Amino acid sequence: MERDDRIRWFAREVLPHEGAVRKWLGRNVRGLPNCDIDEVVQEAYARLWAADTDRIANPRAYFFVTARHLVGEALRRSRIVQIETVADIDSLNIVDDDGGPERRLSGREDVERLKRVLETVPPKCREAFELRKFDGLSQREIAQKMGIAESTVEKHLAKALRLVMKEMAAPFPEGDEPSWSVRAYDSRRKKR
Amino acid sequence: MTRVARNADVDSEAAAWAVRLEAGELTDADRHDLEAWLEGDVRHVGALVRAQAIWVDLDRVAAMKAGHARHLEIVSKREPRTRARDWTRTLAGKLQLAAAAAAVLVCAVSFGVYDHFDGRLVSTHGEVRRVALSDGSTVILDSDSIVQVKFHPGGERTVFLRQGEASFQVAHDKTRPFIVHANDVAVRAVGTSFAVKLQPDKVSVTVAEGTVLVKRPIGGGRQERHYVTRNGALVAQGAQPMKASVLSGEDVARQLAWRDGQLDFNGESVVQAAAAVNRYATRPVIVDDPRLSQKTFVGVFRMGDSKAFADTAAAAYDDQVIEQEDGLHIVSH
Repeated sequence: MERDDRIRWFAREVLPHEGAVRKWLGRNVRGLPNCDIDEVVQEAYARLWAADTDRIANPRAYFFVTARHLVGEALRRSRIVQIETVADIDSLNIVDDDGGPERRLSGREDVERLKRVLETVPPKCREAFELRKFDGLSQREIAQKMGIAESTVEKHLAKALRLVMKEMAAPFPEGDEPSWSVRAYDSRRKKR
Repeated sequence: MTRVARNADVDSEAAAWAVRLEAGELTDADRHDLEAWLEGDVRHVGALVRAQAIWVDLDRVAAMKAGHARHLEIVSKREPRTRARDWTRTLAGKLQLAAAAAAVLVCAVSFGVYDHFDGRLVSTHGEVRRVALSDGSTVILDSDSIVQVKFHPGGERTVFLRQGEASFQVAHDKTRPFIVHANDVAVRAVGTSFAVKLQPDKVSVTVAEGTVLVKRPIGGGRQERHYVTRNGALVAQGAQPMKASVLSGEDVARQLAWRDGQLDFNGESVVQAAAAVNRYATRPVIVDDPRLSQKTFVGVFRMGDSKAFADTAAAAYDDQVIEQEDGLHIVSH
C-alpha cells in the first residue's frame, strides 16, 4: 500500500480504538514507572506502522495486544514492579466497550471534540481550518483567500491538528458519554 | 517555507509534518529534516502516523458535524415532550442515521466502503471480545467466534451464532424478543444472561440468570420446546431430543469464566486443560508426558498465559517445561 492508503487504513481501522486503548492504559498503568500513556500510544502506532497491515485481521485486538506488550516491556525494563501489577482482570480481555459499530459510526464524540477545539482556537486559525476541512480548499487556495502566506496557513492548520490530537489524548469527560449503549453495559458489568 | 519547528514537543512536530506533507512535495531540506527527525526516536514515527491519520479522519468528522447540526434541529422540533430516556434513544437513533448518511458520503469520496458496519462481529484466536449492542444488551464472544447481529427496528432482536461461543446479557424489553439462532436451534430470551456454544455436532445453552425458551423444529411442522432456567443447561445434539440438565451456580460460573478472561479448571485432565489453554494462547502448551492424561488439574489462570499454566502443571507433577519454537513442552525429568 502507498503511504496515503496506509494512513487512511489507520484512520479507519486503528484510530477509532485509540480511546479504548487509552482508557485501558489509564486503568492499568497509571503511575507505573517508564509508562507514559502518550509514549505507549505513539510507540504502538509505530509498531503497527511497521507491521504488515494487510495481514492484520482485527486491528483493534492488534492495537490492544501491542499496547499490552509495550507496557510489559517497560515494566520489565524498570525491574521495580512485577508484571502482576497489571494482572487486573480487565487487562486480560480486549474489552469492546466502545458501543459497537453503530456508535463508532455515529461518531458523536468526534464531532463534539472538534467543536470543543474549534471553540478554543484563534479566529484566523479556525477560519483556515474550516476552509480546509469544511470547504475543501487547498492550503494554497486558503493562503490566497485569506491573504496570508502559505507558511502561516500551515501553522494555523498544524495548531488546530495539534489541539485535536491533544483532545483525543484527554480522558473522556465525565457524563459526556453517549448513554444509549455504554451505560447499559457498564452498569451490568461484574467483577469477580 | 519555514522549517518545521524542532524544539516543540513531539506531537507539535508531528502535526506540523502532517500538514506539511499534505501541502505537496517536500523540498530536499525538508526531506532531510524529516528523515532525521523520524530516525531520532521510534515514537516520532508513531506520532507522525497518528497525526496524519487524525488529519485525514477530520474530513469524516467535518462532514458529520454539518449533518449533526441539521438533525438536532429537526429532532428537537418534532419531539419536544417525550420522556427523557426515550428522547435520548430516539435522538441517538436519528443521530446515527444522520451520521451514517454523512459518513457514507465521505466514504464514497475518500475511504472506499466502510466494511465493518454490517453487524458481523468476529473474535480472533485468543481474543475475548465484549461488544455493547445498540439496545443496551451485551454480547461477549469467546475466542475464534462469529456472530451476526440483526436488529429489526422496534421488533425482534436477532443474533446468529455462526461459530464458537457467545454469551449474552440481554437488556429487558418485553416488546422486542431477543433470539439467538445456532444451526436449527433458536434460543429466545426477554431479559436474561445466557451463553450459546456451537460445536460441529451440537449446540449447548447455559443460563446464568433468568429464563430462556429453546426451540427446534423436529419435522412435520412440529417443534421441540424447552424452558431453561437459572443455572440450567441444555444440549441439542444430532436428532436426539434436546437434553436439559441442572448445574450448580459454581459450575455455571466456571463454564462462563472465559467471559472474565479466566480459565477455571476443576478436575479436568491436564491434557484437557491444556487444550482449553491453547484456545487462547499464542504459545501452545504441548503435553509430552503421557502420565498427565490421567492426572487431574485444579486452578484458575489468566487467558493467554500459557507459560503460567505450563509451569504450574509441570510443578504439580514434578515435570519440567522446555520452551521450543512450536510451544511449551511439558516433559518428564
